[in-house]
Amino acid sequence: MRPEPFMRLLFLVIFIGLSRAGEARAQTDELRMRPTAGQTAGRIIRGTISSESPAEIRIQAGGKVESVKTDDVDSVNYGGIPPAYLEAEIREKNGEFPAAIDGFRRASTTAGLRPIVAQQVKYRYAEALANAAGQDPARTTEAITALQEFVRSFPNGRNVPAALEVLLNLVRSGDDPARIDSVIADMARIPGSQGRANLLKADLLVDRGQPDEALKLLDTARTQIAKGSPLEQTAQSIRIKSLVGKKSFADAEKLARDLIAATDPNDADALAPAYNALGDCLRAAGKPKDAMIAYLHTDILYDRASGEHARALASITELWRVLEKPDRAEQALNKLASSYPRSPWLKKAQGSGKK
Amino acid sequence: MLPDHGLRWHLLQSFLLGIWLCLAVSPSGSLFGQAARSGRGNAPGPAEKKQEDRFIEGLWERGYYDLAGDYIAELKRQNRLDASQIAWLDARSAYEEATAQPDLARRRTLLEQSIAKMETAIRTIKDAARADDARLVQVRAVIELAHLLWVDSQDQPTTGQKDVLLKQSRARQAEARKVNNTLLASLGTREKSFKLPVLPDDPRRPDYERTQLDRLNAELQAALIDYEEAQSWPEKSPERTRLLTSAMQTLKKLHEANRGQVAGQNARLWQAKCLQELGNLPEASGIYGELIDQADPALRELRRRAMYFRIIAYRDRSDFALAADECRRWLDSFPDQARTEDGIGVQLELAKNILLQLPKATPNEKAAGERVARERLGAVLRVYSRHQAEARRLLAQLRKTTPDLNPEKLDYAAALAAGQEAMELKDFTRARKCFDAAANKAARTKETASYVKARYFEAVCLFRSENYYESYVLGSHLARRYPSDTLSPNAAEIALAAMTYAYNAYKSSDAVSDLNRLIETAQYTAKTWPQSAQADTARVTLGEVYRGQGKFDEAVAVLSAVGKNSEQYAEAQARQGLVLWRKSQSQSGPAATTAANEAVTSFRNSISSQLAKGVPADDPRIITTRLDLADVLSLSGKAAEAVKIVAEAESAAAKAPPELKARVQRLKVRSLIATDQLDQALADLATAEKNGLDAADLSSLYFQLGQSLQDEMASLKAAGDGRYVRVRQSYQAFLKALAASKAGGTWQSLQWVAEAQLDDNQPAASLQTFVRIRLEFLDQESFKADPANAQRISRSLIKTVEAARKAGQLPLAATTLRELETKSPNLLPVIMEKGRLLEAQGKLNDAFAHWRGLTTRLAAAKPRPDEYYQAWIELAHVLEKQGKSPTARQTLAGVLRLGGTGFPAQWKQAFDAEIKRLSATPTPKSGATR
Repeated sequence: MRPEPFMRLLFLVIFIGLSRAGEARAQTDELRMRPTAGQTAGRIIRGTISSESPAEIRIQAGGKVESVKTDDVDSVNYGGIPPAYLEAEIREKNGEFPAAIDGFRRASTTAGLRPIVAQQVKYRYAEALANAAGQDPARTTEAITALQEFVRSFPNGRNVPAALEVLLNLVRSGDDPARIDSVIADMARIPGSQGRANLLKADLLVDRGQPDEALKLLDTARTQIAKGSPLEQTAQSIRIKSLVGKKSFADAEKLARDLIAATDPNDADALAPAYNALGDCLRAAGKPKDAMIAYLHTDILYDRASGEHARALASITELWRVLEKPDRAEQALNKLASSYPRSPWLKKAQGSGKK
Repeated sequence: MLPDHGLRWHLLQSFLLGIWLCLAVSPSGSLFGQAARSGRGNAPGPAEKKQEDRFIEGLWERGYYDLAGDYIAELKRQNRLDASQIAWLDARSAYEEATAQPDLARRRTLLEQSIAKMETAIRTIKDAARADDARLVQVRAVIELAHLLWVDSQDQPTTGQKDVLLKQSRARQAEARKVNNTLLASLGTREKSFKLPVLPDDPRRPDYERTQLDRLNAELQAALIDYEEAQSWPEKSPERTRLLTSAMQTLKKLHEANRGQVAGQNARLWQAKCLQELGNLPEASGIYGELIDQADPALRELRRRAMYFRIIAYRDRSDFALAADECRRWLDSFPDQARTEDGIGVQLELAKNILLQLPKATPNEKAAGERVARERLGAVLRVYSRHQAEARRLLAQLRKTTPDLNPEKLDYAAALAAGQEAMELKDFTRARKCFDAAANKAARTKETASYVKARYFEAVCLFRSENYYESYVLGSHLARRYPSDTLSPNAAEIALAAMTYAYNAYKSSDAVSDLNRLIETAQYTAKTWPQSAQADTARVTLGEVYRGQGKFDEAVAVLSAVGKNSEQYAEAQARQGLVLWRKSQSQSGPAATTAANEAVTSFRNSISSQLAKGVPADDPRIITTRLDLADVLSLSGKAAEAVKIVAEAESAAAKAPPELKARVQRLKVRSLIATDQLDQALADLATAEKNGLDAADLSSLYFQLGQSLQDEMASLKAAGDGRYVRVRQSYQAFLKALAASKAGGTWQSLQWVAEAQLDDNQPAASLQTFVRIRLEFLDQESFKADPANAQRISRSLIKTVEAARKAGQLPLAATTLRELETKSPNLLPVIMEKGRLLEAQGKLNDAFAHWRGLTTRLAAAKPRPDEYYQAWIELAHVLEKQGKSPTARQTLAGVLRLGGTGFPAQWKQAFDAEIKRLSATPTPKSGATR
């Protein structure tokens, strides 16, 4: 029996409706908020993002516009993201940076991308280049150029502070202090990013042997950083580092141990510097084996934090020498040399071996 | 050195502790196990079983071995079963636990314990049927152990180590054969006891049939013992052929007599397998085909195995493609059997047959084939089976030609499997990378259990590659950050083991920090998982550390916290005994006696606990504890008891390691001395020599006895004990005996005897021995020609001069000295001997000049040698002999004063003593002096 014309019309209406609903879902943006105290997972807001800036995201959800601070957002999923982007994300996660770069490049050429999605794709492309530079130093210039171009093209983009931070990490490995300062200055000009800029500046000051200035700057930045935010953890890490630089080892050790105890055991960004700082304190206190154990945490568990990992490897190399185990020192040095051939820590570790 | 906890940490070192996590044991055990179980089974039928038996079997089936143990203990307490039944259940429980134990060392221990207990239990069972049921299980247990030893032998790095295990395996097969023969005899007697005919409606019929079936199974078992032992001999060796032929003939007869029975068909299957291994492939294939075509559902398992054996036959006749297809078909048809012994065997066959086809394959086919083969070999490698060693060898070969996949590109399960595979192949660098990649993947998806598992394996891997600090970091991280995970206690144990090894390996600097970390980790482990086996390991570690630190009460507190049911109880008690003994030595009066008595109790607890668990008396741990006990008894004045304990240890030490045997001998001598039975010690040595003990072992025993006698004499002399004279006489007799024995046939032995005689103030006897040394060695051209003997010759000659001088044989001393002077005029001992000889010859002025000259000569040396100080004392002696005691005294005092603070303590003491002695000597009157 053939269906009646009315029934056929009904099927068509349902089919079109479902198709549109699917399309609508595909275009829906999603904000995952950070969990607040007592929550195991953060709130999810679905709607359409109308605008983004380094400080806030405006999203239209349920007929009204909601504005949320970027610091409170854990992740953003845009609707209408091209498949090449998703594939590139997976490649990047697996450490296949050249394939990821290629995927992001293909995604950026997709027709009909919304401007905020295009911006996101460009940022991830530049970030993938920076990650690739970690493996292949020849790509550093290309990465710097892409990041600078991103910052120039989207001065009010949500990802600009993150892009500047990645850029800073790249230029820090070079020998141009003015360039480094200029990147930090650029970040400081972004509304809402002063706190982050001050932290980076403080970190730089410690590296330049000015821990007192760094501590002062951290005190200034205290009011610019939201309580319980990841930046607060970063600030504490830099404070520990400054105290180590100032040789206030007891205070630094206590802060480091507090930070380690309070932090999620998988948070490499917070724990790698904390364990390194703890290692520095213990080493200064004449406890080479305790220090070794601290640095080994960074080496074994938190090697994703590449800068800190290089630092830990250099310290481990030196400590094996102190413990009169030259073969183990050589092993650690080889690992440092093969993983971070351009790291200043490599030069330091090599230098200390020649003394 | 800190303890390595014997077995437990040895397991870690051999990665067995790591294996248990991920590997399921093949549920049906060995090939043989399946065959033996394919009959009726050993226990009485359910209707006949008591409720208690059924309950215990239920616990075993579910893997609740500890609960089964508790229940058996409860039954014993309530007297609900007779003692023989309790003893049997206890023995059987250890066996059931062993069959499900993937940790191979633990499996072996359990099997050994179970077999020892079974033997004792069966002897007490009065009912013949029950005893036969028990024997069926006993045979299975012994074969299982033999099989385990064979599997272990396949993984040994050297032929020597392999052969040792193969020998042990064959010995166990012989034991199984013996028990099976006893069983067969008993079953035969029982079968004959039935008055025939036993018709189908006869009430005796079930019992009769059961007895017949048991006999049939025992006969099948006898043939399969031969087959299994054949596997332990090299291919085509006469022993292998003989055993296979014997098994084949028995099986053929069994099949012919029992065609209608499952056991008869089983016999047919194994007959074919024997034929196949004897090279008769066509006949074997025919039998397999015949069995596979059987439609009876009761023969399903048998058909499956026949298909597996036929695959091997296909490979043997080079039908690799067909064999590979059959493997795939087998695995597809029986997916639930993939991890059984047969399933693992089929997977290995699949890999082998794929690899055998590769030489003719295209590059693409080759790559795909290698990938599949590698996956299959990896799967074989991860499960305990007889096929593991072969899979390891093949995989190692394959890895040389095919590149490893980047672990970052694998998913979690694949990365973990790749890590395990690499670890099995001892490629720790790759294994670590794989586990690290797996852990990172699990961390990204926040799968905590998976993360902990991957990191745990990484910790094991680091431990096995001797990266102890790194292993500690990971183990400790897991234990502290994820305490509720089931693997965390194991991780804590790794951290403990790693830190113990690190402490022992990196002692040269900052050792205290390692020790503190060890204490902290052990305390944390004991506190966090107080009821776990790991907590007990931690307690034993803590006890050992506290003992080393002299914190005896703390050590006793932690060691006594190890409960009686713990696996570590015996070790904890043994260590507690050592702690208490040291405590007693640090105290005096009644407190010391109490501690010593408590030490004895602890040692006895340890020994009885181990024996009760079925640990054989010749286990080195028991022997060591017995010796510790004997030591304490001997030193506490209970020599007679010590002699008894040493005798027990000695009777069990026949196969003990040499160092343990040596300790037995030392203690025996000491306890014989303490009980005035020195002649017995010497007689023992004479008997050993008569019994053909080789010269090296004999020398070693003589030297130990000599050392023990010297020590004993020193302590008796210091204590003013009247036994000194008797012991010294025995010592002199001993030296004579040594010189005359086979052990005394070397330069070292004779020189040792001669010097010992000299030290014991027997210069004449010593000189006699030196004369013998001269004749037998020093004058021999071959001895002189070896440059390595130059120093030996000098030493013998110098000591000859001393012996001759002391024995009053001054011309001989002078001649020998001249000989020495021509060869080595500047050798200090020669110069010293010259001075002494001048003195002995009464040439006091010459002697004085000699010593004066020597002191002047040596004064310039930095630091001054001992001879410098000795020369001053000798000079004082000469002065004394010249009647110038005051001058002698003043001279020594002057030298002492001028030496200031740099004067060596021991020489200061000697000078002081000499000055005191000279002061006590009456000063000759001035006239006399003049």
